[in-house]
Amino acid sequence: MGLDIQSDALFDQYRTYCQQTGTEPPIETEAIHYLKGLKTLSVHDLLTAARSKGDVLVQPRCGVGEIAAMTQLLETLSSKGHADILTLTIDAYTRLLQLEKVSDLATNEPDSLNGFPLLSHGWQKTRQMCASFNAPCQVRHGSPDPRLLFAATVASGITSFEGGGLSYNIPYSKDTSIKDSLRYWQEVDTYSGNLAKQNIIVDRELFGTLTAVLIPPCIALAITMIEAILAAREGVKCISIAYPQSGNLSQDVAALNCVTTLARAFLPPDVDCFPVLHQFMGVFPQARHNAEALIVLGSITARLGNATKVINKTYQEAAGIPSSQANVDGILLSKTANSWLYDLLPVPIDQIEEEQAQIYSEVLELLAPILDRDLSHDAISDAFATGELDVPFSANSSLHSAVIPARSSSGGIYISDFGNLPFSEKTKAFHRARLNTERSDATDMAAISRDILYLATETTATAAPQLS
Amino acid sequence: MSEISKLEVWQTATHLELDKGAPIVILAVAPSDVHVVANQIIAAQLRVKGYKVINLGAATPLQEVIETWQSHSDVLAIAIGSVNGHALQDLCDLPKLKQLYQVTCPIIVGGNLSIGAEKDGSEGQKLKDIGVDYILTDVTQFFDILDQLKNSKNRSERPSHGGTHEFDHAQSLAV
Repeated sequence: MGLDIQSDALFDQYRTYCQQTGTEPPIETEAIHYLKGLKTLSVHDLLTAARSKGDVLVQPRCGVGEIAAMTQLLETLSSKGHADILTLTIDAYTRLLQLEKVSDLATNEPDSLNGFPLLSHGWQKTRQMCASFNAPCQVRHGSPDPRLLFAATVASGITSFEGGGLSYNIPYSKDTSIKDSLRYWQEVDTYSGNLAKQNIIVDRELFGTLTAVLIPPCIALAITMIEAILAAREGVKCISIAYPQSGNLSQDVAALNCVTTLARAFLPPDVDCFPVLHQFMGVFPQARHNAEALIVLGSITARLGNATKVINKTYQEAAGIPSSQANVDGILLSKTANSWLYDLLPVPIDQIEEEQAQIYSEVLELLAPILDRDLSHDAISDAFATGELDVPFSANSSLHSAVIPARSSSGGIYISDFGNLPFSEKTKAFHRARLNTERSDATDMAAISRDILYLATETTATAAPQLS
Repeated sequence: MSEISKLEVWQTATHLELDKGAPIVILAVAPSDVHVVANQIIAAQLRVKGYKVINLGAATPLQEVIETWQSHSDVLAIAIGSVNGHALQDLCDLPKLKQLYQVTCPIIVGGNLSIGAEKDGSEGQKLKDIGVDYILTDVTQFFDILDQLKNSKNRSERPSHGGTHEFDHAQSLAV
């Protein structure tokens, strides 16, 4: 994994890639001129406006292999769903730089791809496609080495790019070293910082969802806060921190509130930081009424947690990539986050404040050892090597993944086995108390599976009353 | 079942010290896929059940899977998870590799086998056509299949039965 790219040649490497694949290479000065001349609002503009108005923006995921179909999909989500921000979700082969494979499939079987192959279609077609919509686009992917894709994104006229050196390595790569992915993503952040000096603000969204299953809030926030501090050091001015809905309202609202307080504590004041909620990313209910109830719960959570943006799910989540109509339905349902009627719900303020104080102190405990070493790449890499930083169910085999999460009786996500996390006894006692009962041991697979499937539990729909 | 530690259960290392005699299962996630949660939980469940698991983990090239099989004698089954919808594209070299390496071990595939929420039902047959022996629609089937393979193997290894090491895949739980 990882291309041989010199640190100062991110854009040049993409030009070389274009030459090798027979497409016209972009000219960097022209690309920057194009970005400066964009008439539509950027993602950063929209996030800033939404925050000032107290709105929650709604953004779907979407990506298909064929460019005409992708254009049609974006058109549908834009015109029927009124998506605030559009997405180019990149296919799995491009993410992992399996470029020959994706080139072949993009040419011969584009329908078989699970996302949009931006590198194969190239920056010109992608720019043309994105320019036909008023809503700005974001590139969402999962690349440990994102440099080619980032340069193609910039050349395509897109200024919102998801991922980070930890959050796009740990869930997405088996063997990319932490140091390597931090270096690759540092180049993205440096380039974004240089664009910021030219008044082109790139929104860098950090993927706190991680492995998407039973992620304790403190881990999601510690990992993304490390990435945020590193990005800010490179001059990035717009950082979105995404947190995955656990399903427990108090815990989720507390975690979203923590994004703002942590940003205030650790990021320079000239960096705009926005909390983003990912609607539930784990195993979804199959029945439509349960799936949509979970989406509504996500919308309520986003509003109460003052998220600036929510990434929506659809009622087809359990079955695979949704149809465009299902995605439209998911967007519209998620837009209920902007209804004042949710303010009529009673809010468990005491519970939220207690959780918020606890999550905040846990993040500080996780960050303290590496902050002592100035958050260097070596310090971060060493922390993962010792297990002081850890993520459950990591795809990257270099992590310990010794942390075992569990759900409390009220559905909150806590930690039943701490591995080597540097938690105080007070923090450990809090988690034990929340979980109430000790697991028999960490090999209790039935309990872990039950916790994973917690929100996918189906209930029988009550028959709607008939009007006579 | 003997005592098994947390570390042993959750061990994700590729090369474990394998106990002699325990049935070996090779697990992997398809070459373009990184969805490892089910993979890790299944690996842990198998270890608790007494299997020896070689878990190759996320985005494993098919050739690496087959070469791992080749380097271990007596592998009960190879199981590949695919959740991102690319199963057919990821496994398209299977016929070539099976022939090249003379693979005799059953190959099991499970997960979300095509993109799109609406399936036409042909995904399983297409995978069987390229050499997959079992398609899972439910993880519990996996344990049943392994039990059956293990029992078939035990029967075939009894000299009095004069059996072979061949499995009759067609008579088992393939769906």
